Amino acid sequence: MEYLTLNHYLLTGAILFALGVIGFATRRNLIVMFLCTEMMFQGVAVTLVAFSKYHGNLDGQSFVIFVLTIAAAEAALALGLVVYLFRRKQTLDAEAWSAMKG
Amino acid sequence: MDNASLILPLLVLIPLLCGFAMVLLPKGRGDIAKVMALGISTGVFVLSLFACYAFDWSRAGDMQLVFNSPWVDAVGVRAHLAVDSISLHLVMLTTFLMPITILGSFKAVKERHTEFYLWLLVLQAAMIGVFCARDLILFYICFELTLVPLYFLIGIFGSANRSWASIKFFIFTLTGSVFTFAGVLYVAWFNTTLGNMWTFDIATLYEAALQLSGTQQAWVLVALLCGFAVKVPLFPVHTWLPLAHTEAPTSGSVILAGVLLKLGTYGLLRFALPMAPIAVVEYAPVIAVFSIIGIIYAALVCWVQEDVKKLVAYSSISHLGFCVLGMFALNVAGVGGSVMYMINHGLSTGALFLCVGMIYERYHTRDMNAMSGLAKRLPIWATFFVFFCMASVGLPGLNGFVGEFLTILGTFTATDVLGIGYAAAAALGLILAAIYILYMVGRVVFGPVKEPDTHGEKVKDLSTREIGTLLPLAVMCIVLGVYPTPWLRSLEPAIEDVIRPARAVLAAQDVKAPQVDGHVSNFEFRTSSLLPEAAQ
Amino acid sequence: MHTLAATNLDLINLAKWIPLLPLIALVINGIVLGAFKPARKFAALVTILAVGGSFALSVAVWLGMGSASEFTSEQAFVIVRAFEWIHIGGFDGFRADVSFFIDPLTVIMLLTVTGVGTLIAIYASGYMAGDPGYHRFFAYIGLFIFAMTILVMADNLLLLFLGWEGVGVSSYLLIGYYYRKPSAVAAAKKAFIVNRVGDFGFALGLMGVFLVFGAVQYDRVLPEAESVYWMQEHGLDDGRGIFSNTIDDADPIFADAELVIPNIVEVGKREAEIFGSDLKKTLLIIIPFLLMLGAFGKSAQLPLHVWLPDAMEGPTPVSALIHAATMVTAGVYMIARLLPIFQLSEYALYTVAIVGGVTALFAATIALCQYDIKRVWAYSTVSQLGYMFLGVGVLSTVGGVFHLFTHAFFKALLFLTAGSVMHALAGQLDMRKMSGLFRKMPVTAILMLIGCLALAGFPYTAGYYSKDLILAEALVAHPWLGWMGIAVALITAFYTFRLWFRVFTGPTEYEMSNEHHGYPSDHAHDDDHAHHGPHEMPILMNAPLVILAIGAITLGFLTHDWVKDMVEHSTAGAARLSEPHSPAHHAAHVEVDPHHTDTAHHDPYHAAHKLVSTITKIGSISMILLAGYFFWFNRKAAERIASAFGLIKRFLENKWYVDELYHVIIVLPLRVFGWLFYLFDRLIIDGLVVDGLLRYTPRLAGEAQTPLARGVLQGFAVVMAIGVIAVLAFVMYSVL
Repeated sequence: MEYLTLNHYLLTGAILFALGVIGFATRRNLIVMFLCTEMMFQGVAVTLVAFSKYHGNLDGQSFVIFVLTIAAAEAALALGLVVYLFRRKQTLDAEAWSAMKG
Repeated sequence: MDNASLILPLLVLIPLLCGFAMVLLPKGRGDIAKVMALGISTGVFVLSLFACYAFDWSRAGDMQLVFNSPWVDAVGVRAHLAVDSISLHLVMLTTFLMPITILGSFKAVKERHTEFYLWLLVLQAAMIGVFCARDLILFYICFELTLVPLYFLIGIFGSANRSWASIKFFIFTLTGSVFTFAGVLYVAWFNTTLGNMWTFDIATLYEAALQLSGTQQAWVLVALLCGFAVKVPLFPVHTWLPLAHTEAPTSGSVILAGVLLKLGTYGLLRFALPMAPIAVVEYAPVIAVFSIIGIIYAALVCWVQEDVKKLVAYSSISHLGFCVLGMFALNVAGVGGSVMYMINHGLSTGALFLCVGMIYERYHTRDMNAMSGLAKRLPIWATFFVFFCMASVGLPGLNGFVGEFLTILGTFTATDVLGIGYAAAAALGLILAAIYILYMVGRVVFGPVKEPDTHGEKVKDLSTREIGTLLPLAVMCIVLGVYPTPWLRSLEPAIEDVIRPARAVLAAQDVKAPQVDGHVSNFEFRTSSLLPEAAQ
Repeated sequence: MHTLAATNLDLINLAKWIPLLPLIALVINGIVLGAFKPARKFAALVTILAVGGSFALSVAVWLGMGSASEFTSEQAFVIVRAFEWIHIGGFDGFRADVSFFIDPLTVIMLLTVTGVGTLIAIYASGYMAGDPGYHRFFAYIGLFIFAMTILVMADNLLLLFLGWEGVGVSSYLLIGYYYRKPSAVAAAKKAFIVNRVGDFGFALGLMGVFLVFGAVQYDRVLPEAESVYWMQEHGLDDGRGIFSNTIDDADPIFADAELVIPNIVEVGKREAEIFGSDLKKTLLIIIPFLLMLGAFGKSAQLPLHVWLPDAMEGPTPVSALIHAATMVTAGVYMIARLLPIFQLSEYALYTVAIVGGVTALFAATIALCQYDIKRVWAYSTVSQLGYMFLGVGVLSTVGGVFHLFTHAFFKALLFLTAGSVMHALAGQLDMRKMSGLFRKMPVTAILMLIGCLALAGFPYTAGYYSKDLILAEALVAHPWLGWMGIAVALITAFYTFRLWFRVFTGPTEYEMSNEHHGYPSDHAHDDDHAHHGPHEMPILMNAPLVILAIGAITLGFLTHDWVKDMVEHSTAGAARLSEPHSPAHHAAHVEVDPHHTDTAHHDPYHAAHKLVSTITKIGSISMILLAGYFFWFNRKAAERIASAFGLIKRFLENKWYVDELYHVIIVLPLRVFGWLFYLFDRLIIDGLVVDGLLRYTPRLAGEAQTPLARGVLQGFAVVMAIGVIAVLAFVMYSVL
């Protein structure tokens, strides 16, 4: 176990992703939920980079660049929305917005 | 690429681009919008006359005025436009009806003019696209694109129950055509399994389809029918039509009855007959039975209507039944009659909807109980109305007769596919048509004068503009009825091409019949074996 | 083969203009005068000139043809081509051109139609004067003459059908001329629809002809039908060739007239084909019955007679022109023209004869008990048309066509004089409300008397000759029909004079009606008629009547031989080639069939002829005297007798309740089906299947998921995760 193998990276990515999922599902604070989605992103990004290195091509890495860019844009948008929502109801509890109830 | 090849793309693009350009018009200037729309559509009509001029009528069966350029190369989709005589006649019908429709709605549309004319022009572009497309994807895009403008035309400019009508129309036809798309995609996929590249070129797919087995063809036919039968509309998937017609504004109805319904029959003609000939031969009697049920059923339903427009709408269902029936007679007379019927029905029913619209503009009702004896008040209108009614019941010498007679004649003489019983049943429609049309004429045009309350508005007979909309239609009704020769002659070679595969199947059936005692299963052979030249 | 020196093709070529002139009148009256009000008073002039011009051209064509016997004895005819109409399917396909078939039968019909048409148009110019729809009326008349001339001149069945439906439409428009009168509108509708029922049969018959013979042109179909008939009789191997004309494919637009003489060019090919196909053999039997349906519809025979009496709602000149003299005889013309086809089916002509005979009797009984003058004439027309069908049905085409010809004159005369009475009494038509009008309008009375004599078959009037011809041949062919026909002749004489004596003799009493130009008028006091009471008609209206009256008396003995000559040298005569008592037959086939000798077949015919003429001579005169007794001298007795047969009288007055019967067994059920289908459409197809099943199924599917979708973000996330896991599991499972 001297060298880091692909599996280590994949494990890291999976753990990050799983933490993200669990966090998203259990927390109620919108900002925390949002951070959890970011964590899922990073989990996937780590996996992509790992595979990219493993296969010896740059597809995965370039994809990660895309993901990061999109994530940055999305973060700006999402935080803006969160601020807006907070202004509407003075709370960040996700359950306050259940208009989509079927 | 010569100049002639640019005509078809221009025919599609001019209304499309000019239509969208109308968005730039200043708000509230409806007067500019309508004049502009009229100008554009007239221009397109003139351009289509050029197309007729450039078209070589001596080889009317060939695809001409070809425009073929790559579009989405990765999957072999091309912008491929071309017309043979069938397509060209239907394009002419479209371009001829459009200026008339626009002129006819000058007064009817009271607000949001720009949008209204924009959607009409987009609709025109899409319809021309359908008739010219020689690439499947292009065809499908245009086919579905027709839904959007009409959805808005009905949804925004319709009468009371318009939103439900537009939704129903949209969902009904969209659902059907999704299956159609699946069917043709299947043929395209099948083509690749033969070792070819992906392509959606219709002519190539015809050849590929010849390799389909009978069972495969049956599925393709069912898929095609899903979409096209809804569009036609064939009994029992017709119920969207009366609703859409009654709620649509006059111009929407004119275009809907005049051209849009023909997209269904055109689709059947272009795809079902050449692509699934074995299945078509096998199931022609079934489809014919549904057509005949539609003819009689809709005619009887017409007879109990109180709303003039609904009556005309149901009469369309009855008429289109003839159209489909003739097509599945699979002989030149039947299919030729069917195509003539498409043109003629567009003219006469379009005109009837215009007439009904004129009444609605004056009295704000279409209820037959509320009016009678209008011949006294509106003699010019009454003359036109009776005239178009006579064209609609198929009076010899007027246009309706040519199509009707030929479809029935085709059915009658197609003893190998349909035959005399079918023709006799369909001919009952002649009697019923007289009954419901005269019932309407007798109540609305004739009888003691009775007018709905117009709240003090003075009702005038047709204006020059209105006469201008009806007169060209009337003239065409007479020309097509008295001298249909140019149309029939030019259609013949194109139709022979369309029915060739089906005729080959029938010929083979005749040969095989004695060998397999009694019943021949069509599914035992592939069409390609019957058409040696196609296999090469 | 005859030399045809006398035939002048240039004159015959004028035939193209015969339908065109009335069409021009239609356009001028309908469009030009429609738009330009002050000129509307010239409408009548336009139509009279056009129809009169057509008559002049018809005479020219007749002259151009030379005398009929000279024309040819080999069924030659002239074809005048105008232009190509409907061609489809290449060389073997369907061809129907706008071209005209000129033979003696056509010429007789043309002369009748345009001649009577001109006279009636002149009468109408006075009768309709002051009517607000003056130009409309004459436009329709133009349309009618156009369609009718097309009908009789057509060289193929499809063009015949064009004329056929064309006269139907003009009849529809003219019956419904007083369009604000609901009864007129209903009658017009009925006429068109009942005719359509006939047309349905005709159209199918036409297609059958095409399927069997491969063509619809007379010049191809009729000779072929004849040779098929020949082979039916003599067997296929008898080797009489087929008459066939090869038609050159030259562009026929306004080509000149050409004389066609059927040639024997092909031996038995199509016949073999026909006899080899069960379908075609069956069709041959059915086709005449289908065509017959068309004829019965147009000519108001049982069971499609119901429209004609109602058609009297139209202006009287229309009743005279369309519903007595010309249009209704189209069915007779058609059967006469297509006789070779009718002969192919064993029972076809017998059926025609039976229907004709029965209709004649049926309608005559109704005419006995009607009180409306025009309705009496209407039923009498139905009855006389029955005679004509009886005539062609027993292969007495000469008799049928001759009766058609004479009937056109005297029936037009009767209707127009009835119109004069009606005009004089402001629309009064009920003969119970008028009496002794002779003193008020003697000219009209005498004119109608002449018409009545002809209709009653008074010796040596026109009707006497033509009726006798039919009855004698009927008596030979089917004696029971012949005797029935004789009975009808007696009834006819009685009801005809019942009307005349009631209206014109006895004490002068009358009750004015209040109609003004077809509509009940509220201000009858302003009306001229109300002031003056019954009066003579102006000279403009009486002059045509005088001509018709002269015709009604003299046509019988003047034209008897001419008509015989003409008809026997037309296709209607050709059909009798193989019939026993036709001279043409003996001339042509004496060697083939030596057993048929002249005497064997002429004797019964002559005997029958003598018998019939004796009976009708005595019968008609005694019936007239009987009617005179009852309705002139002793009307009370007539009433007593009538009341003794009250039930029968009511039955006849109500026209055997046929209208009511049709209403119950046809109209109502169809209407009910209409409603049922509409309900089915709205409730089942649209309501249950479309709006119910198709609309609510997706919605219900959506509703089913609501517990999972509580609107909480986490809930959505969990569902999504489950979905992803499910997909992954599926992929893993199928990969591993």
